[in-house]
Amino acid sequence: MTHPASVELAALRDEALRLATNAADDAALDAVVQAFLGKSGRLKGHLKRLGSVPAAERPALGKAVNDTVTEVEAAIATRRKALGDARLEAALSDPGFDPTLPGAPVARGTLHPLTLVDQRLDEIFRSMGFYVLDYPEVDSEHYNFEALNIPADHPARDMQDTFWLNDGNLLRTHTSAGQVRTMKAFAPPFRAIFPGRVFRYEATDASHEHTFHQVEGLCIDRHVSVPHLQASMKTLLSGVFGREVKVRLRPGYFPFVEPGFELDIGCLVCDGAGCPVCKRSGWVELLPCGLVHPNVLRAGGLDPDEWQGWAFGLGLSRLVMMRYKIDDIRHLLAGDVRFLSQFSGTGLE
Amino acid sequence: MKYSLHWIGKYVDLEGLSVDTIAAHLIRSVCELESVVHLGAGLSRVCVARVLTAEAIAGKKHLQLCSVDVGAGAPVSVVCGAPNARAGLVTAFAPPGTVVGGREIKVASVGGVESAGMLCSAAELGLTEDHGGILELDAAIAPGTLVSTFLPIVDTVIEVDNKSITHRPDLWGHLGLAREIAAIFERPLRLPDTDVPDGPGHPPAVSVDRPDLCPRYVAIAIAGLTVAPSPIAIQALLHRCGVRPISNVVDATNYVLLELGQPVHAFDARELHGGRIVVRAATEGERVTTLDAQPRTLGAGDLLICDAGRPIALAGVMGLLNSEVRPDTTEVVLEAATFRPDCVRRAAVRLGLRTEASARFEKSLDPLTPPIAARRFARLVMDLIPEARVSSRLADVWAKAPPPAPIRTTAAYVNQRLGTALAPAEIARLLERLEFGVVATGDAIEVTVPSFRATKDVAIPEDLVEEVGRLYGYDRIPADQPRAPIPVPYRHPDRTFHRAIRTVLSFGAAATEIQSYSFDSEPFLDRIGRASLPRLGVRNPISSEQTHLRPALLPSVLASLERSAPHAPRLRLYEIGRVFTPATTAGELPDQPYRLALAVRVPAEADSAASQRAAYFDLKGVLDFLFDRLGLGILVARAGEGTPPWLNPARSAELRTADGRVAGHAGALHPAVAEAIGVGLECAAAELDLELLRDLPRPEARYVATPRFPAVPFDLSVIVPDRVTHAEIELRIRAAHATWVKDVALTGVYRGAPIPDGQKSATYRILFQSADRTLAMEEVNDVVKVLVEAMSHDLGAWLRV
Ligand SMILES: [Zn+2]
Repeated sequence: MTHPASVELAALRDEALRLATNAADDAALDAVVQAFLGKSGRLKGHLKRLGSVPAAERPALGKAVNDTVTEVEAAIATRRKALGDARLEAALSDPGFDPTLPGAPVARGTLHPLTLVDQRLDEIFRSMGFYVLDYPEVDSEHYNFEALNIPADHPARDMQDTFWLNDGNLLRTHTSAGQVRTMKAFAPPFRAIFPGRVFRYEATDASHEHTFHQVEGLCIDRHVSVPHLQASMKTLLSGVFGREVKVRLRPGYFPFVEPGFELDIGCLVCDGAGCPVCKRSGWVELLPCGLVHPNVLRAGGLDPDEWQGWAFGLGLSRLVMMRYKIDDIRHLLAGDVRFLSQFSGTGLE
Repeated sequence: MKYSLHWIGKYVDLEGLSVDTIAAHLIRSVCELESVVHLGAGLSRVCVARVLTAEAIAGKKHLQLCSVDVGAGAPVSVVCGAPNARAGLVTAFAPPGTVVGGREIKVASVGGVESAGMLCSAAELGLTEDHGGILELDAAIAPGTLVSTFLPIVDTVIEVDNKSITHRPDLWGHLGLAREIAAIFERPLRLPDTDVPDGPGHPPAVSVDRPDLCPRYVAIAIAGLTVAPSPIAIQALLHRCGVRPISNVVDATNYVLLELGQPVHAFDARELHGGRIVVRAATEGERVTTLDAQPRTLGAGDLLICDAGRPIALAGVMGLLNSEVRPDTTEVVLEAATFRPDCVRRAAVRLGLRTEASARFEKSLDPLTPPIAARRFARLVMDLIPEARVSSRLADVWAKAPPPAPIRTTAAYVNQRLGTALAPAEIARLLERLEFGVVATGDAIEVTVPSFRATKDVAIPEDLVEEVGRLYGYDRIPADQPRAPIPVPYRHPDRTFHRAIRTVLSFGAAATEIQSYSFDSEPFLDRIGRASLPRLGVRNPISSEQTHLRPALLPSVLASLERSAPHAPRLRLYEIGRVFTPATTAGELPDQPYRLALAVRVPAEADSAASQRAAYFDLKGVLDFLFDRLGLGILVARAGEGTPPWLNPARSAELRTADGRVAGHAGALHPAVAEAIGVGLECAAAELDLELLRDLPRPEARYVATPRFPAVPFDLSVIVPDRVTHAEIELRIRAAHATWVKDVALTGVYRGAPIPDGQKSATYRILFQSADRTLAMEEVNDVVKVLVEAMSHDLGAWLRV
């Protein structure tokens, strides 16, 4: 005959296996473990009944309990794995998922396009060993004109209509005003650029502003020649435009350089073949440059017998307009977010 | 300046040189060209014709049918509308196929009559603006002769960019450009005819009071004149160079000006009272009437040409009305002089009277040219008027300066600057082509500069480098990379600091960078109100709206806020820019520090107070973030005296450095300003002094070991008067134990019962942590006890239990 304990064990076994096999989730399985397999669980607890079983049957019943525990554990593990597999399978299927829906918004700020180009130039020129400097916007007649070999009543002052201030100073008409300041501040040899805003007393239209931006370049060394200027400008401008450019020098008159040049670059639109942008000449006038005039070196405290230099002045606003195809210079200082938020660069491109 | 190639061809043979070649070489070696315009390209077949008969066409009011002899074959029938078309007239005939005024002439029916060509006016041939009738030519010219053989109807006008010849007074006449072309193409230069006999009479008595302002004054009298229009050829050349033909005598002065670049002026001899010329300085306030019939008030520095009793010309600028050449003038006294350039320039600029003459005098004219110009004028007038004769000897008052010393340089120097390897003889040859005198001895080169280049342009070896380079051709000089020593790196403090700010604000705080004018906008300030800050005025403002430099940056961002707000409910704008404050010491530059201004707009809340607070705390969040990222220790305090007037003083803060200096202000927008610029109250703005922030000490980032012992949290609730700020409380909590207090977080503020009116309860969670042990609760309690006592004493705080 079968001992009642064996009968109960069979019933327990059936119940535990049923619960394990049908468990809906891990929590239900955990409940089965708790209920049947814990130290005081109903199965393990069953061992306590061995005392009431005849001694001869005890080993068999003990073994039966242990076998049942093993069997239930296996069922739980199987069910646990099945549940896991089902979850994984569910997670790997999402027919309604639309990867193109908008992402969570990250607020977006922008740099001013003048800053973007300024930072690009900063990067390029510093990588080529230039100092990048900054000078006052209100400057003296001395630094803006006289030190640059443009004395009072010099006809060259006509080239740059000037805003004069009530204190006798002026709004610098060109970044060249920083040339002599740089010579005084840094021991040669050196190379430097100084970007910044400049001011001209002139009427405003789509391509003229009374306030615009330039970047001045200045190199002082012991021997500086026209070929150096030519090679340096070619390299620098290739860096600025991000491609190899052709340059040519033509005579140009600026009192603070001698000889002075207008520098043309090979038209970037047609590569020199001729197009409307270059008026079919293949060349586009880009910037004035030249070898630093000895009077300017002297004004900077340098002995022209010992030091020579070259200088250039590049239109930063114009570069910005070329780069972003902006058709009206007046957008730049108008402070309209609809314009400004278009420039999504980081300044490091 | 405009140059006629036809005219230049009088001095240098242009045979075999295309216009393109000439233009390209001028660009390469001399100057910038504004334009190259071809005249009369379709007019080469226009010929002389004699009108045989001219008959009115029935029913056509102004038209006549002319039968004209064109030199070959049968007479041609031409319909002509000119009032002066008449039998016997010798005129210009454009056969079919010619292009007149851009229109091709065809055999056509005009008024029902066939017309096989066109009789042309001076305007239609591009000679002058005269289109009142057809051209009237010398009856002696044979029909059939091509008009282009004796009138410059086929020509090219080259316009040179004036700024590119600012330094070249010699180029302000056709002869000067001809000289450059002669040098470039190595062709001889033909000088204009100045051969005239001296007159019999005494020269005009010239006295120069101010030889410093008038180094040379030449005068000569020419009599036997009959004032009449100039020949069409002369008129045409003046016209295309932009000078209006007036009469033979006046045209001759302008011809000399455009030919030699030397202005000359003819006085009617009858008006030269006392037969004297006196060159003297004007007296302050002296009044004269210039040729253009305008009264002018002079300054003491201006120079006058006078006769025995009165001024007759404003030296170097313009003649006076009282002595101009009139239709009945029969004798003139011609002036050719040099004046000090800055004196002429100042007068011309001040009087707003920039003339062809003043433009040339202000560029330092060659002192050797005046007598040449005077004789050239005489020669021209005698060619134009058969009875004209020189009636006096030449007066010449000349404060002769010693010629400039030769320039000494070396071939080695020239070659070093140009990167060339030219022999001394080659350099000499290049300079000689430009009429420099060169003595080369070994490597040494001694150069005598021709007088017409020596007044301003060429004085030092660098100038010779340019002369050699431009004639040799810069395009023949190969580029050469300089040696590049490794420079000591340098980072500009402002630029480096500003870049960091821009990166944090644009990419961290999602703000939009703007840039604005350095001028205040007066209309905008009229609307938002002005700060009582000293401002620097512009002496010559471009408009009444921009008369001062900005002393504050806030209005710039507020203007942008106004412009942008309609398009964006949420905005964060900032600008980094200079502001300007007059210097306290005369002669110094104004203070022009960099500032940072910020403006924000947030979505409006239910009530205005909530909106203002939301905006302020959005702004403050940006500032807290900025200070944290830059490592700037900035303390925020309730707004004080210096709050900008555009901020709401009740919802503003002062930003201070650790040592108590004011670094800026931040606040919700003043309601009046918000209304003025049409935004709601949900806006806030700040302005910070970047010069001050730039120089603050910033802690070096350094690694701190991850804590090994647990932190002990402590919740502290204190009741304080309303005026006590969070910052004041936090400062004291942090000061309670410099090393143990790791974090202070405000978890709640409560007002209302049972807290008494005018007070608030603030709750903080403080984290205490030690690096070397687990803190005991008693240790923390001891610290808190001292802290509460301090707060009670300093802030009137008491512990809420
Ligand atoms: Zn092109």
